[in-house]
Amino acid sequence: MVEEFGFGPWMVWIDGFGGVWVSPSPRVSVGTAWAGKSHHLAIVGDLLPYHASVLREGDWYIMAAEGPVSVNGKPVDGYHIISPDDVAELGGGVRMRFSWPQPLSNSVRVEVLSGHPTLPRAEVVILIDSMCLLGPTSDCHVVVPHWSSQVALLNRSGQLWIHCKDKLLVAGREVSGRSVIQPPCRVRGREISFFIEPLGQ
Amino acid sequence: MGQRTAIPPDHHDGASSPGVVPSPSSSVRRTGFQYATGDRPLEGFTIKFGIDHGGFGEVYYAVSDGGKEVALKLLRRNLDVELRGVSQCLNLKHPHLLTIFDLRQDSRGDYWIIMEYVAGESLEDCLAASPAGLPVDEIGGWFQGIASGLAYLHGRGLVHRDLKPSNVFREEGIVKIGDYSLCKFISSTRRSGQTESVGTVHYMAPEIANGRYGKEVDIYAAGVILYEMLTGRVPFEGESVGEILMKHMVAQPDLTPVHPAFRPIVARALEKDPDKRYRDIREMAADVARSCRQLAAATTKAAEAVAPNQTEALTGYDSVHHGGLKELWRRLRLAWTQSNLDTPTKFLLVSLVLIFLFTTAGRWIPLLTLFVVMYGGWVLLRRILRGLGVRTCIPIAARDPADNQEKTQKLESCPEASTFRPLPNELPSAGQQGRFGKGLPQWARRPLPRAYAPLDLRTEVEDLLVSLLKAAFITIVMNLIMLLPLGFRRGEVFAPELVGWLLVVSTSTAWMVLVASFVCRATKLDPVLTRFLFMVGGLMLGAAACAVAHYLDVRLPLDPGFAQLPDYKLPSTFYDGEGRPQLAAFLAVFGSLFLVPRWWKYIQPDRPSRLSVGVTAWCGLVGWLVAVVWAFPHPWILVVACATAVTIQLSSRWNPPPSAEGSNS
Repeated sequence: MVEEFGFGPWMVWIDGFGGVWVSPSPRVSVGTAWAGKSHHLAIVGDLLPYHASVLREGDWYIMAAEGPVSVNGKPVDGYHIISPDDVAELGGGVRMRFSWPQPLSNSVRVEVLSGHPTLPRAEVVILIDSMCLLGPTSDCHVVVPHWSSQVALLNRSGQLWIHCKDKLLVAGREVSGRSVIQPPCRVRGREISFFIEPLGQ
Repeated sequence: MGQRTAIPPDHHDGASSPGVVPSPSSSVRRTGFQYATGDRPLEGFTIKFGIDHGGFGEVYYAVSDGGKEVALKLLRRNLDVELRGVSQCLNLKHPHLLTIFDLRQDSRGDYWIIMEYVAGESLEDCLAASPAGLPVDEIGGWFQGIASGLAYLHGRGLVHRDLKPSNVFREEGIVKIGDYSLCKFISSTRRSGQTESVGTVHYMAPEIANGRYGKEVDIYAAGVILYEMLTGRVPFEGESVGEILMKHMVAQPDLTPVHPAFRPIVARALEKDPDKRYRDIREMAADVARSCRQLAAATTKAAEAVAPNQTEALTGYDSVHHGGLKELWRRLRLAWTQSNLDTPTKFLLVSLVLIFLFTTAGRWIPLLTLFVVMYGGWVLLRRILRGLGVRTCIPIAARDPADNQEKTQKLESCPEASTFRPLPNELPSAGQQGRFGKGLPQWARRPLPRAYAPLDLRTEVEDLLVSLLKAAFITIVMNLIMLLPLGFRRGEVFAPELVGWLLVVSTSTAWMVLVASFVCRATKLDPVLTRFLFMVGGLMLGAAACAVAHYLDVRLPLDPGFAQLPDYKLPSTFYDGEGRPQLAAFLAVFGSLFLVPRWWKYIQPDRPSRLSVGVTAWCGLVGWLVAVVWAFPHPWILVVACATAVTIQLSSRWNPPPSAEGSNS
């Protein structure tokens, strides 16, 4: 079972891109869409309700298997320390790749390679440690090619912060530099337009 | 930075208010999506994010109250056409057509199409990820799906009329045609009468100009798509809508990059006369399937037969020089056949080139003979060495390890690689993540037609100022580089006045090109007017060059090493008694110099390379020809033309393909 974490998760709906599922919790469960806990990545696939968990321990991410799981083709019995570009296969063919695109951040990007949709539908899943970078370049956790600048979502002492070198309108308020934000809120810039929606509440 | 003005005022900020339809703001319409996450412009549907927006309206991803994912299309333009089309298509059911669920009107009177949401990639995304063309099995899969959907539409008396890669999607292997809201009923007696052109210009059949909309327009568009899937680019490109349309009407498609197995199919589908095209899309699909099977079988056979050393040969080992020459020749032919030059101009150019070749035959024939002998010797030596198992050059694959596997696979999948050379990659490669499969959103990844390219005026002005500054320095360096060998050959040091004149004229010329290109780009000037503007600029430059020459008392000495037309005299108003050019000569020379080459094209940010040797050589050739025709002393116009060509390319902005910056996959 997953203990409740009173902060997040959120869906970041990015115009022209899609949805991003973001969780700051150090323990995220993965399973079917019917499990119903807040930091539970629900996937429409042949999975157990709680098929596996991804745990963050310091700088490490650990896959805890509660159902059939293999990583890079090798079955996981119990726990597996996740390495960059590991591809985990859960149950009946749900394949997920883990990557760390930003060298200065321990946040991990998870892509469902098999095409199984998440609920809500997310193009990418971010397990945010301290920072989630959204921007046009490949070193961002979420690559939004039509943006010209980067936006950082920061997880600081139980609050969500936003940081951008350009001025942004956050919930109707002009923000420059770093600022605390309170989802739900809309963020807009020159090409930037996204909405942060709290989930599981 | 004027960020405050750059951020549009937002009527959705703060927590969204489900059920509340916000009042639209015109500035929001210009800069983004009208509706935001949580808005419910239609009862029962909650918008999550905007997918795309453009002239047609806006498309959103939304979820119904029961959890059904849909795409909501807000109609903005061509309302009558769209509504008519949608009403005809509401009850169509076919696995290869995107399902339209309903047409609804919101409380503000806006019309919405409720459509099936496709999470997969579009054909446009797929093409952008494979800029050299798709593998043959992919082509077959896409085309059979398209043909099946089209056949269904045609069978019900409907014509899609806007078939293009961005309207074709694939989800879990099933191809679906979308956006058929432009559909129109046709019959043998009701083929024309359309007053408003619809469709997308790159895929637009020539008869649409006459308002004829039979199912042949879809077959033509399918032919263009097939061409694009095979080669990675459309058959007719241009700088403006008018230019592309004109090519659709009069120019013949260049089929050399198309695999021979598909050439007859593409040629028939792209016939100018609709009656000569396929009568039925299913007939075309059958031919495509047959060619795909033949090619796949040949590939398998060749793959079994190709030995490792032959694979090396295919990967560029054997045909680097030969292939490069063939590619150069193909590009020249393509540029010639697709150029805007009329027949008299082409005749004049050919005549000038022939005159040049005849008058300088004594110089180039020995050089050519020497080259042929040396190349022949090299080929012979290489064959001997390869017979001994010695590598004579580095395979392409080994030069670029990152692309090794992909290139090898592509070439191995194409046994006739030496004769079928896809066009070079000019589109950015993908590898990005997102809703749009593995690629960028369609409007971000594919370069828009230049006439529609978004323009940030402030950025453009900043770029222009930087370019002007750079140009001043580069011109100095270029002129010195070019003067050194000339002076060495003549065995003299050039007069300071002459060097000064060259620097002033070259700098002014480069600045004129940069500024005029900026003006034309900012005003989206028609190519003909652009050329006229450049000619006027050239005349002004000629007057300025004449004034500077007289002010500095420059004598432009004739270099006898450069050929002049024999016994070719111009009126005395062009030259004084000592042979010094007068105002008329300067006007004629500079006016011609800026009338012939399309200077503005050479500094477009999306040009294939920052500095093109071909462009520089072409500008130099034009400079030389202009000087020959107007009997202007050599080689000063050639120097100015070459220096300008290099300067403008180096000083202007260039966007390298994003693939060079890497991708995140």
